[in-house]
Amino acid sequence: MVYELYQTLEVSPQAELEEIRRSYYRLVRKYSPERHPERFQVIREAYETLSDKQARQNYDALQKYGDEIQVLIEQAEACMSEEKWTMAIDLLKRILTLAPGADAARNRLGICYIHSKNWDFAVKVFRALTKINPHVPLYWLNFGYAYKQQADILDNEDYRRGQLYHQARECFQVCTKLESFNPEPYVEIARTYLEESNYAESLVWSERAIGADGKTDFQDFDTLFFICIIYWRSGEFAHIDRTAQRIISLLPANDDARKYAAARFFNMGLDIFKFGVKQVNYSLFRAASKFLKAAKDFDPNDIEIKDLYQNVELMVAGVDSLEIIRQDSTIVNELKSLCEFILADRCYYFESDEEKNKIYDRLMEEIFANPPNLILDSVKKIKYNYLAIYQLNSDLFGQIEQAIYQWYTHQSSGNYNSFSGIGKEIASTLKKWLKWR
Amino acid sequence: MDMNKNYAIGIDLGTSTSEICVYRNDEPFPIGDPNWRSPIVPSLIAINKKGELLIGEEARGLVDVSGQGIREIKRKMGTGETIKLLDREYRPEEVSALILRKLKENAEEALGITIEEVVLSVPANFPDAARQATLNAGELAGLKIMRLINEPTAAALAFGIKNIGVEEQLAIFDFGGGTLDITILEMVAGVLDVRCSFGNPQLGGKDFDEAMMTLLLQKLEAVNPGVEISDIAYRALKEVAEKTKKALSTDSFHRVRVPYFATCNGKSIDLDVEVTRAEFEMAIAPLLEQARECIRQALAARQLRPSAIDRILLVGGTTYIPAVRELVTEMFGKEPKADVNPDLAVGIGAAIQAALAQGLINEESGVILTDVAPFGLGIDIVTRIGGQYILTYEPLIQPNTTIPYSTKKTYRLLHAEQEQVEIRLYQDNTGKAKLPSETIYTGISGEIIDIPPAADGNAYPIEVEFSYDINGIAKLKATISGTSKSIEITYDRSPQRMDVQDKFNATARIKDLWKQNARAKQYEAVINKAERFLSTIPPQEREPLSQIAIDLKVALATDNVEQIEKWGNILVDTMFEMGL
Ligand SMILES: Nc1ncnc2c1ncn2[C@@H]1O[C@H](COP(=O)(O)OP(=O)(O)OP(=O)(O)O)[C@@H](O)[C@H]1O
Ligand SMILES: [Mg+2]
Repeated sequence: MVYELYQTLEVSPQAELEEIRRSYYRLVRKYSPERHPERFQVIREAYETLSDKQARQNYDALQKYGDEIQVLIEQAEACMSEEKWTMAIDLLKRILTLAPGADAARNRLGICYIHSKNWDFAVKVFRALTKINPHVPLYWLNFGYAYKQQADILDNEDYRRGQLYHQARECFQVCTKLESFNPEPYVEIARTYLEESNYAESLVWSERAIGADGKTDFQDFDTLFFICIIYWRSGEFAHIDRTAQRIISLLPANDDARKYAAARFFNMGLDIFKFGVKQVNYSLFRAASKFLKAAKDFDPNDIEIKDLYQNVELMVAGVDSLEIIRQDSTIVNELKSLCEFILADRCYYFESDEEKNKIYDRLMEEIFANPPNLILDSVKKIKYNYLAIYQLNSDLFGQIEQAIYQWYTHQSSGNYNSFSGIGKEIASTLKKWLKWR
Repeated sequence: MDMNKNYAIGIDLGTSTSEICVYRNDEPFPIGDPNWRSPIVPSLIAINKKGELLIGEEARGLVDVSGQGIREIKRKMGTGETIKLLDREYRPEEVSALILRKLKENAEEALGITIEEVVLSVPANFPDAARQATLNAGELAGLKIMRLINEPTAAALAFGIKNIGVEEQLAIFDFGGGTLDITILEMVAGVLDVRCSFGNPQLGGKDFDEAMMTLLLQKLEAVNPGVEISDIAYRALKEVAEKTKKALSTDSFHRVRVPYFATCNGKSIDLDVEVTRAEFEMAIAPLLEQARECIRQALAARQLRPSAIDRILLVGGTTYIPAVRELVTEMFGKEPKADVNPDLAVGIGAAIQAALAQGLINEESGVILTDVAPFGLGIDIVTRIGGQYILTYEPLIQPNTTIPYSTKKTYRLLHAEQEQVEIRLYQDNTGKAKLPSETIYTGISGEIIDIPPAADGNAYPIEVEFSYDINGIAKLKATISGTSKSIEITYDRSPQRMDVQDKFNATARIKDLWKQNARAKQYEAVINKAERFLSTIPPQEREPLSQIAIDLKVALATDNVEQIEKWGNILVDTMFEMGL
């Protein structure tokens, strides 16, 4: 029945508040809660709605345009799920002109504005929503997103960035006050701090997110994972290990959880590794290896994880050795360069084969300009003292060794060729021990 | 309900004082203790060394003796805590039942009737367990409780019945011995519509007594550093402090004298200090601030400006304190008027409510009352929030919702193979609770088991129907749609509540005590009189009266009915013969 509440209170839909109030009291006298509990409840419910300005407005709108609004809502929802933000915005606006108090629609409008990067509008919507409903955490959360996502796409140097993150945090904090057990706003605050490279605060807020619901369990995986990312970004790789141990202690006894955790860490490790390769930032290998090791610990039986982990471990060891080798005066400098070259090669560093070829040729020329015993000594030293590097391309090193031994054999059998002469020759035959695209 | 009765009874069972009121011939009036003239009966219980039970004013002398008396039992209602009197433990319900019994007897004697049905008042912010305990106390006292009425609402009724034409926003400021209640009502067309109630169930006259005790001790110590106070003296101080507090409601200073109150350096010293009203007001400032906060909350809850309140009714003994009245005037910007009697309004209102329920008041002049639920109730449900599953509190009724009230909500089981589900009821006093940990578990739960797996692979919806009736009794029914599985839980059992066996035991215990009261009453006066007489004559002339009195006391102490009757009769006869 339309306008049923008005009928219950025996007033017309145009009735003034005072009239509604009088009618309510008159009816309560007639249908007291004591004698007519059911009837009274109906009367009371009608009165609660019609005596509250906002509630009455919403009710009226629903009576007048209920069907129309219903259709619009469905359409708007469909548009949103297809990410047609502009169309959704139009539809939502139409709903709001019919029913200005439809806060749920207003909230969706704000979300659409965020998605379509209409920041000012988004902020305006959520400012209004939080003003009318200061106790609804969801609106504060979305208000925070309106600021945060705007900041996220700005350059690091942009002066507005800090201000926006600050505003975002203020909104998220209101949300934490209203809903202390919801981890989301804490995590979002942690994210803003990470964006600003404030690792300490980021960690503090992440821990708050973990403790939000009063217990640490596997449900906190995402946040713990996020903490690993903070440690990666802050360069405290050792803590990634420790955090992974924390996760292991929380792993429930089912394969799905293990596999899930392993996959997340594997993908992260792989990403970081690729990134490190791209940036020629060897230190990132260490971070990648931490993630991969965690993945391996979560799911020790996964071959793919194991392979990549071993591979990256090798390179990390190589990087470590490289640092020491650089200080080792007993190894000829040109061979040190070769070590670097091999590592770079493993990392697909070179833009093109051509470039690689050129560098390689020059490098070999320089190496074989040294006396053979020196080269041999250095290679042996690498083999015995810096196995991690040697292993990166044991074939190449082995061949260099071989070639020099062969030369010695030739020498002893009377073929006195000058070493520098054949160096070039050896160098070119060794090329096949490098990988080419 | 006996419709032919021409009277109706209401009882205000208070922390410090209790009243029983009757409504008869269109008039409510209080009935006092026949021996003490005042209609205000102190809520005191004591047992003397003879094992005799003393209730009300007559208990005052012994109430503060450890293990022999108890004050302010109302504060323990619904807690499950027990009270030791002599060598037995009693539940708060039993102690309250004895006070009710006493009130009932007072009224029965005065009116020459037998009372069964009554309306009992409880503080608006009384939690459910305490309400249930009050109902049980009534039952133990042999009463049938027609209704529990919130105290401030009762007070408003006492006003409303006489002012039926009034259209006003009323604030009831009910500050008694143990609780503070602020209730805002709207009165229109003879309907008293409670809008909200706020209170502090732990703030009352007793706190003012404690503040006074501290003040007195500070003063004593200032003059006598290192003074030592025995436990017995300390307990006696409560009575002194209360007297002093009351005196300062009319006087600007008061001298307190208690001889041989304490010892200092081995010497016995008196408590002899003077307290001014200003000093007392300083001492109670923090308590007043708490009261202010309550008023603020009540106004904020309905977004009312103080000026919107047309009239303030003061209820409860603590409102006699001038600083409390000033506070009310200052907060509401208007002076409260003496519209109702602060001591009696609640009891009178309860009697009126009883009269309304029994149809003793005709329709036109009858006030209709709507009331609110003093607290919220709800269940716990699993909610996905911020990417995590968390057990949250789901309100079914919010505090200050007008009652009766009912609602229906549908949830879903967690998964299709779920075999059982437990529904637990929680109480939320703030209206802000979001987690079960922010509420009080009522101890009430129900379980649906052996749920068949859902055929279509979708978890079953579960429908929760909740209702809250006018007496504050909640009912919850949960049904798994599409199956025959359902569970019904009522808000009337929990560990703090008495079961049948508890009630049986309690009845036996207080029956015992009550006998002591009857006997004490019957022979106490005679024995006292005899002993008074004996003390005036030389020892050699005391026989046989003295021996008879002793024999009677022995009979009383051993609970030997035959002997009591025998020696009782002999004593009365002997004294009669002696012309006493
Ligand atoms: N003249 C007075 N001045 C100050 N306080 C007083 C005065 N008269 C009574 N009181 C105090 O009022 C309190 C008792 O008030 P009242 O009898 O209204 O409360 P109650 O009904 O027993 O308690 P409640 O309603 O909280 O359960 C006691 O603390 C008493 O000391
Ligand atoms: Mg009272």
